[in-house]
Amino acid sequence: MNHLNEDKLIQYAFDLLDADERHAAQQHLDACGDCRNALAALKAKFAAMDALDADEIPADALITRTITQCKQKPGTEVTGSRHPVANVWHRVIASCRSRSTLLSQPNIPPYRRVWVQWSAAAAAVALVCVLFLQNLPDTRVKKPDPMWAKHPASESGDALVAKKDSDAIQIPATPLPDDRMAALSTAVRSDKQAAFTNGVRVVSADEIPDVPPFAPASAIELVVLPKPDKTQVTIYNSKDLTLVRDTRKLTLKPGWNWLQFMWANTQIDPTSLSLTPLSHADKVDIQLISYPARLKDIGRWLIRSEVEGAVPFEITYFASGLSWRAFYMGTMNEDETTMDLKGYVNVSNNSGQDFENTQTRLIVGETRLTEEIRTLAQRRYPYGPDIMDDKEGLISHEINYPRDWKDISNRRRDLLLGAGIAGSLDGRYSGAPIVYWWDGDLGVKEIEKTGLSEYFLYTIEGTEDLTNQWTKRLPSFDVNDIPVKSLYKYDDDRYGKQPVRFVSFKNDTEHELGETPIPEGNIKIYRNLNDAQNLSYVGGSNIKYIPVNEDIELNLGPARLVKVEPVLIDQKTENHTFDPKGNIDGWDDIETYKVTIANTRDIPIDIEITWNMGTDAWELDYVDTASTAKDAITYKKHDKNRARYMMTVRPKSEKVFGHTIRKYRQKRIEVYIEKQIEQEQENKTFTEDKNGNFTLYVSNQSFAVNPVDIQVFVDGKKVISEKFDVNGGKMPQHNWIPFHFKVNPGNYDLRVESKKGKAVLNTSFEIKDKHWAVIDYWNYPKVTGGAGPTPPSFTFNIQNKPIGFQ
Amino acid sequence: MTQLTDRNLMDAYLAGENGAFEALVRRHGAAVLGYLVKMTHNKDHAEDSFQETFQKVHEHAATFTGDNLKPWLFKIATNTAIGNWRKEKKHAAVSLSVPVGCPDGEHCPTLESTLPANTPQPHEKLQLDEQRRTVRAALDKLPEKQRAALILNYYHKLTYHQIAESLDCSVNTVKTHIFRALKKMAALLPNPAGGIE
Repeated sequence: MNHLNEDKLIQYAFDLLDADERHAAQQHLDACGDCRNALAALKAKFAAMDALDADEIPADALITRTITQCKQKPGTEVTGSRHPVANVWHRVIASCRSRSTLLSQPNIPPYRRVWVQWSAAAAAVALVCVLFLQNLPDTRVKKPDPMWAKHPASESGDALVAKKDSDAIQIPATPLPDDRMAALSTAVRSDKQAAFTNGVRVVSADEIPDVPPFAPASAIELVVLPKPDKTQVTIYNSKDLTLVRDTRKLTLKPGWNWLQFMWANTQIDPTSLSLTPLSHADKVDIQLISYPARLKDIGRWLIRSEVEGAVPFEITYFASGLSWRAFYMGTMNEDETTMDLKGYVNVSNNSGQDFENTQTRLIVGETRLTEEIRTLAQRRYPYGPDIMDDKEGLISHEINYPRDWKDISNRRRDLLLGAGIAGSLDGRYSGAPIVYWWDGDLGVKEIEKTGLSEYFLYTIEGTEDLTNQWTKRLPSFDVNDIPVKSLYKYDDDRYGKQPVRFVSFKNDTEHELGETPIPEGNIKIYRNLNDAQNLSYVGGSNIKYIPVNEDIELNLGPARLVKVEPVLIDQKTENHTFDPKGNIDGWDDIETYKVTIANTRDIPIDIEITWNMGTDAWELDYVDTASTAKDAITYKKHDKNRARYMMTVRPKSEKVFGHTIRKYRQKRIEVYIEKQIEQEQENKTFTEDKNGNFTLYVSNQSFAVNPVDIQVFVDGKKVISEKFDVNGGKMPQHNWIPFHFKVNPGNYDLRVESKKGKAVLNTSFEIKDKHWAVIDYWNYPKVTGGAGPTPPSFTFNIQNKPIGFQ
Repeated sequence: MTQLTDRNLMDAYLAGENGAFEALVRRHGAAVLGYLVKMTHNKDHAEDSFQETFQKVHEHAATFTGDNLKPWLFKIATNTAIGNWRKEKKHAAVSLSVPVGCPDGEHCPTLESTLPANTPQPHEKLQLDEQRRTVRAALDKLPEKQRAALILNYYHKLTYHQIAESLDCSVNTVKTHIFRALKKMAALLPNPAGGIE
């Protein structure tokens, strides 16, 4: 079998073979594993070329320079071609040139050349004549006038829509500059030239017809949305929802204006569109929005305007496709006691549209929406049969809709604005964050953070261009020297045989944080190896949303430089018990382990070893080989079936300890329980001690029996037996006699009795650490000072802090 | 928003609509600059050629008769880049492997803020940078036409016919250029790491 050589493989991989060769190569590859492997290796080698990106986004400055340069140095074909006739003439020239190129090609038969030449010449002359006559008056105008302005709009507009539909001016994905938009809107201006104030002229309402015009029949009657002056996007990550607000200056003519908005190939929810004039609100009325039949993704607002000129508007709508995610980079110092933490936010735009010069705000938190914006964005029509919504009362897409649409969308908009901008989500929120506008370039952007009650709003400082299908990374915060604790954990049940590395700190001011919650995101942690700032990768983890003052424990994954090796040294059974038939019904399993912890790192490490016994009935003896207290093991019973050791292991050293575990099985578990009870009893101590951890006050609060005899028994043992006088102190009824005891943690039964006082109290209490308690005797046979009568009785109160008496 | 064709925009521009030209620059600017950076291996030179390319597009807009601007645009870009490179070579002996004004010749700090979504982490970035350097060095070793053909095919996904149009040669010549370029690249690129230990 002749294998495919490298040449053939390259030609095959890059489709350079002709059909027969390719077929033969394919057949060989199907049968030959070696060649398939060789092909795979070759492809893997060429995959390195993917390291270079195909595209390189040119900086805006470069584009501006390029455009400016072209304007300064006009091309011969375009220069002076503002006039339609000139343009057409140039196009004729161009087509003639291209024709001459065509004619110069040898494969055109001579008879066709002659035919084409004559036809083209005749057509060109006829076209030029017609257009020249049509535009004759304009050629006499020297200065720019409405017709001049109108020309590029109508001409280019027609040209632009030639392949789309004949009823609308399309907005290109990259908005055209304002001068074109001005030209377009000038086309719809009235010829009346009156006094303008700030570019706006107010006209009398009488001049406006009562009945609005029918839907525009051609593009020339439309005002087209110009490029926005300012844009703000607020991204609600949890719901794939973005609120977009932008302001634009629309040039209105007095009377009725149709304004067209398109959202083809975008993720805009058309039902959320809202248009609000920012000035002359009393003179400009947004009447309705209509969705032309048979035209997808187009909406037209009907605006009644009593002003002429440029009026700023705010347009708001919801879009999907924008998202953000946070990620972090931590750099620990050499001894891993502190960490520098940098936070970033990646904002991705897949909404189908570009947002230029945009203020970006990010919301952390859950929102509740009844509809997904993506679903709304993909409907055939904003309203209509396929999205029937009886509640809204909107049932058809072919007619102009009542103004309800605006109220509906506003309601939903307000819901979300409440969380992010200015109002209330459900009436609970107030104190809105400020909307920041900022122009210019700051260099490094920062993110403003503002707290809301259930949300958190991050405002990215300055403005950004969010280009469709691009992602921007923005720095969120940069905090140095956060004290951190590094801990290795070994827990066979949870993490397997390999110790796992944890780094913990707290989102509070002591740790240089605590200003804001930390959003969920991925974190990578590095360690500074030396003064040259060489880094080594320590591990990565995911951070969940961390509120202020919450602890953060980062699981950095398995640690390769620390090992824990438990070795089973001995295993046996003993203490067998037998049932009446002589069968074994209980025994003890005894396992002895030697545990070695190897630290190959150049710094000491703290490690926590958790040992799961697999049963509740167990006992453990451990032997620590440590020679100094610093190296000693700390052991505690973690819970009913797990033991936990804590220790420090010196750099580049091993630590060894051993333990023997006794596990009680079946009938022997009863023995274990008995031992536990006995142990508990033995552990209980309740002895008088001036420096003890339990202070018990006893007081007679009754004049009826004075003095009163009181005996206090704890777990049946009499600990106090005295007579208590109500006037024992400087002030009557304010004598609390303290008794101090040393008490081990545990539950205790308490009995208090008085023969003379005819009262008994039985209760129990628990001692964990330090506690203070009071026993009061009460007896008021008659109403005294408005209170009582109170029968003979005791009360007992206990707390874990000192008691203040009044 | 509805995407207009190159032809629509060019017609609009010829009709006096300056905005259409800007739209064209923005539409194809990234591809052209990417191509020029790889061709020249120098960001500054690439930007100069970029301006010059669009200047030529502006000047000769009326001669564009097709629907797809890319082959024509790359033809201009190729001629501009090769022309400029030859001029540079004649006047200054600057090593192309030492780009001017940009640490790695391609990923300048100004682009830092527009890194794509899967922005590599520092350790991955080091590896990626090394890979980029290797690929760029290998591309630099290719003759101009081979390099241009390979870049247009591999990175910009132009068909062989479109490349032939851009380089003013036949389809078979394009295939030959690409094959030779790939053969050299296969010799110059390192073998990928040999899997998991």
